[in-house]
Amino acid sequence: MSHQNLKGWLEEYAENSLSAEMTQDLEQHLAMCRDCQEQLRTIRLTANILRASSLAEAPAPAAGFALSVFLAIEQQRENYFFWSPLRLVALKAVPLMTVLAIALGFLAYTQITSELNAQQLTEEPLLETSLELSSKWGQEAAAVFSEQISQDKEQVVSTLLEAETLPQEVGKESK
Amino acid sequence: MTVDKELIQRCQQGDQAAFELLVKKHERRVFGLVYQMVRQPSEVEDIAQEVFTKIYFSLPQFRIEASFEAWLYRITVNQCYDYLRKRKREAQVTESDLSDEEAAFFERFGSITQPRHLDISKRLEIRQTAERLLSVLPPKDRSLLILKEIEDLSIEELTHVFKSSASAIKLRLFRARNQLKAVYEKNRKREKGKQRV
Repeated sequence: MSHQNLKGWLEEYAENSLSAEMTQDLEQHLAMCRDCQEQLRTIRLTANILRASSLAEAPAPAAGFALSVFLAIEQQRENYFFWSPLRLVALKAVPLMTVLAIALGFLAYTQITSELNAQQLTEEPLLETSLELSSKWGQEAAAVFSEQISQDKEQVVSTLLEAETLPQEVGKESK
Repeated sequence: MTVDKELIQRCQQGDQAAFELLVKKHERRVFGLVYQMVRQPSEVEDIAQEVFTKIYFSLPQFRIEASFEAWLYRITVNQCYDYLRKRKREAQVTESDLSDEEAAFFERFGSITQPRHLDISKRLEIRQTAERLLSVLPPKDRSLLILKEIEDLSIEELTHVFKSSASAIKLRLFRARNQLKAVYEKNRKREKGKQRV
């Protein structure tokens, strides 16, 4: 067994809870390992410090200690039973409220998206008709405009022709 | 079935007399551990009372197959942590010098549980030095060492109290012991330095 493995058993060795075989293996290793010897020394030194700190006797419980415990229980019982169900309800309410909030959020989301979809479906034909209308109006306007232009053009040509013919006619008359 | 388990089952059925027996059976142990942890004799009874009150109200949820002692130790240690946290008188690194006699006492490997050869004043001195050395450790490490060395709990039992694996407990013990030894050696060196002067 490796040094690290054996070092890991030093606590059990110090508390005498190792098997005879393990104890023998560890003692053989301890005889030649300074690191493990030092760690065992640390375990024993600190154990002694702890035991020395406990040399003073702890205060002994008074004869009526159990009775004082019952009195403390009675004092706390009211608070405990008053608060306990409320606390339990509050603790249970937190996950319940979270689930409810998520469910409500989901519902609201689906409602909004479905309404938006419905709106889009009704809005699209309107858009089409408006586009169609606008194109019709555009066509009509263009037709009116082109008609006006052609009429104007004819008028201009006729006035030009008239202007050309006038001096000739004046000349003929003077001759 | 052990006496504890029988008493717990009776308590769980609402038998107040069984709870009184349970308190009487374990009160000394709780007083001892509380005293080791807080070192204030006047506070021990109040803290112990809190421990048993908590046990009373938590008994209905206690699983009968679990270790009652480990549970009792855990509640006691946690109650002491609460008290120490409130008091905030933690880890005061003390400058105490160790005399040769005290050092010889700590390094005399073997049982020192009842050093009858020491007079009362010497015992008090040694105990106070040990307490000063221990005060450098944080409460979690101190409670671990107290349960290991004073309450004589095995590594296996400590795994139930602290709900940790054996390797984690050993690692914590290793660190706590080395920290305590470092303080001990620092104090020894100072004392030796003084002697040379």
